[in-house]
Amino acid sequence: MATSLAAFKEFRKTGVVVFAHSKTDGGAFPKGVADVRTAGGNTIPMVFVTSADGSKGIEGISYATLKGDMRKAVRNLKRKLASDSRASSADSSEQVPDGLLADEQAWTNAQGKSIEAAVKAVDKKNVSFVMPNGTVVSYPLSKLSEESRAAIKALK
Amino acid sequence: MLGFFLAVGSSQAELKIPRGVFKMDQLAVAKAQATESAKPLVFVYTDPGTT
Repeated sequence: MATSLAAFKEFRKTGVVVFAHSKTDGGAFPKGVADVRTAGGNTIPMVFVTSADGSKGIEGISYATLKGDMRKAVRNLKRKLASDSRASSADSSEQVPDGLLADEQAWTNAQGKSIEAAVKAVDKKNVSFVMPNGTVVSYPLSKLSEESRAAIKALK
Repeated sequence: MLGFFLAVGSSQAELKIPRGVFKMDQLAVAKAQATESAKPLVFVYTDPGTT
């Protein structure tokens, strides 16, 4: 039960979560779930991610993955969604909301800790992160990991 | 009839579905919300009685 509850909470950060009862709802899934059903494995709870209209499968996440490191699974899903979004709209500059340099994604500091935030502004010393709750936080570029610092500088 | 509703209440109490999580009979609403917010649908497939 703990894994299911954690899944409800963790995946709400990334998508619109639907509870599907394994005894009664297995036949009611939209078409896209069939694309990723196998990846979900044979043990419940498992997670299926589809496009907003349910027509296309995006990811199937097994119980073993959920149990192992659910937050990592959520982060991986976010990366995949961001990557898919960039790939599907490579000729569009509208994928980042107005007023932001980068949409919400994972950033890592020099200590290896990660946050999920959008980027609003960058200057020589600081980056302005927009946290998921809307709070804007200024953070020194020097405290970011090399990879995140380089990615943020590239946004300028 | 009261027994029916009590039974439903009892089975759902085994797993408290957090607010904001849709059930399969609300799938159309979930799709509309997902489309509007440009987010994917995430189905948590589970048995509330055991997992």
